[in-house]
Amino acid sequence: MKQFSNVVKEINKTLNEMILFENIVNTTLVFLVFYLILSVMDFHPLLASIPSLMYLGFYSYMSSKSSKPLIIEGKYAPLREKLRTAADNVGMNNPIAEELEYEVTTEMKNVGLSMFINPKILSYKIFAAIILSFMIIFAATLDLKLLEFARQKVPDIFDTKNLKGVGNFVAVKLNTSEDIYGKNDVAKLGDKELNIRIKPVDFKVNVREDGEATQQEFETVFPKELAVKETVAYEENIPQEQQELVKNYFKKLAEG
Amino acid sequence: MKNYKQIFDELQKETGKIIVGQESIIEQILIAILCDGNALLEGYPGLAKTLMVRTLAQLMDLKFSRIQNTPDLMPSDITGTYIIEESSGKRQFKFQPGPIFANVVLADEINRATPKTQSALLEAMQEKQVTVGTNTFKLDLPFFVLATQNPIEQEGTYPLPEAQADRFLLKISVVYPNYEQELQIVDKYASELKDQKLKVMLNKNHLLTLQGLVRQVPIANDIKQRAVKIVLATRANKEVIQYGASPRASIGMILASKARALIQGRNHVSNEDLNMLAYPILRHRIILNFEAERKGMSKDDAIKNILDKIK
Repeated sequence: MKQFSNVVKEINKTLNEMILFENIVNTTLVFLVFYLILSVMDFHPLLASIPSLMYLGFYSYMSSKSSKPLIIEGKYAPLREKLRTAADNVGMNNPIAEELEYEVTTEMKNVGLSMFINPKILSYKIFAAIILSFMIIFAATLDLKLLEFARQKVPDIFDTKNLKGVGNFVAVKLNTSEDIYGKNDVAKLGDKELNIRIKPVDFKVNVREDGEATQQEFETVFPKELAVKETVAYEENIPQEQQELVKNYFKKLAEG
Repeated sequence: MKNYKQIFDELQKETGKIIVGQESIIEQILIAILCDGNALLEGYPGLAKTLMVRTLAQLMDLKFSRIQNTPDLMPSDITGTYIIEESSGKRQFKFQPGPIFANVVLADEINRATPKTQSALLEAMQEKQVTVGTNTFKLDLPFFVLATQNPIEQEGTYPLPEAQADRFLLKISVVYPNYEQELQIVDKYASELKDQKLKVMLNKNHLLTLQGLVRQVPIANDIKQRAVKIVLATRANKEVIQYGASPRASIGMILASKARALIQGRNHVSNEDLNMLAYPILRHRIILNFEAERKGMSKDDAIKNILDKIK
């Protein structure tokens, strides 16, 4: 009796592992497909993990609810209706139930793991995963962008026309450029232009490609057109006849 | 389990000495007996219904009695009555048991008896006891009532009330034999009569043990649930069924399926058992509505529809 309950536990454990393996393979495929689609549509590719996790969660839940004896019965006809009956009646102490358990245990020896793995389908899935991985690598290397949904125009919040403020300042519109290397003149250091190559796949700067660091000599250059402007007194702007009036006004204001 | 199958195969073989064909009917009667239930056999006259029951009683070494129902049959004719007995100059009432005091009671043409007489069978069928006056008498076990009725000649008959029909575990439709079987029947009974010796296959104790074993046959949860769903569907299907089956039908469905599994030498109940037994279990427990009758739908058609829907 205890032996059969162990058989049922073993069946559930083995089938759960196999279903999990299949789900992981399928989830990997889903992830790769979404990764490829998202990267060519210029979305963040890691967003592919959302549908993949949803897929894994849903199918893991569904498979946890499915009857494992039914799966085995579907693959091995002689156990049809017997296995689930025996599994549902574990602990039933009578000669008929015990005979059924013995029969099922004997028949289970003919059930192989190979019955549940379809090597053809599995190899197709692995092959598809390899193809998808290569496609992702090529798409990234070639910087392939079929649609550019993500790179929509940034809202122009720095529009100078809409800016309001106090004082005498000038709002400066930021220079936005789609060129990630920036303008050539910005990257100039002295007279030498830096040759930096950033790999689009991992966004890392390969320092080795820049060669040995060379000592640069800097010269102090003072701007030629440097000048100091005289400060302006406000009093000079007040007409002569009103100066006394203004002076008295501020005097009274200070006293009061 | 193979030993049990052998017993029932032998029983069928012995019955075959007297009855030609009708293996399915004999199996259903055996199912009713193994479930400690009662069966109603419906069929046209001359289909060996009575002979079948008598033969089975003989094979199982059971006390057999037959009640030929007529409109003037009184309940006391079935249950028995008190008679005045004189012994040594002293008169006293003594209970004279009726034909109900047997193991297998064949109530022939039950629908010819009045409802009052029919109801006299109720207590015996359900409680396995008979009350006469103020005294209650326990019936000898095993006890089965196997009743027969004709689907024709309905004039002057009293159709069984639903409450009484529900007490029969199975309503078995006895069908005509096919050409080959009828040819064998003619050969067997139209030639020189031979006295067929029947071998007793089971006795009371065997039968009681087998009845106990039936309840031990394991059943899968999904098959059990399907049986209940089928019975519930008879109540929900208002399009064709006016009144559905009672929970007694659910119990009967499971129990009869277990008995069939035992007879077939299986140690588990199969969906096939439900498919086969749904008809005899449900056909006397459902009442079709006018719409179904207008369409010419039979009770078996309605049951088939339910079985097709609930796979």
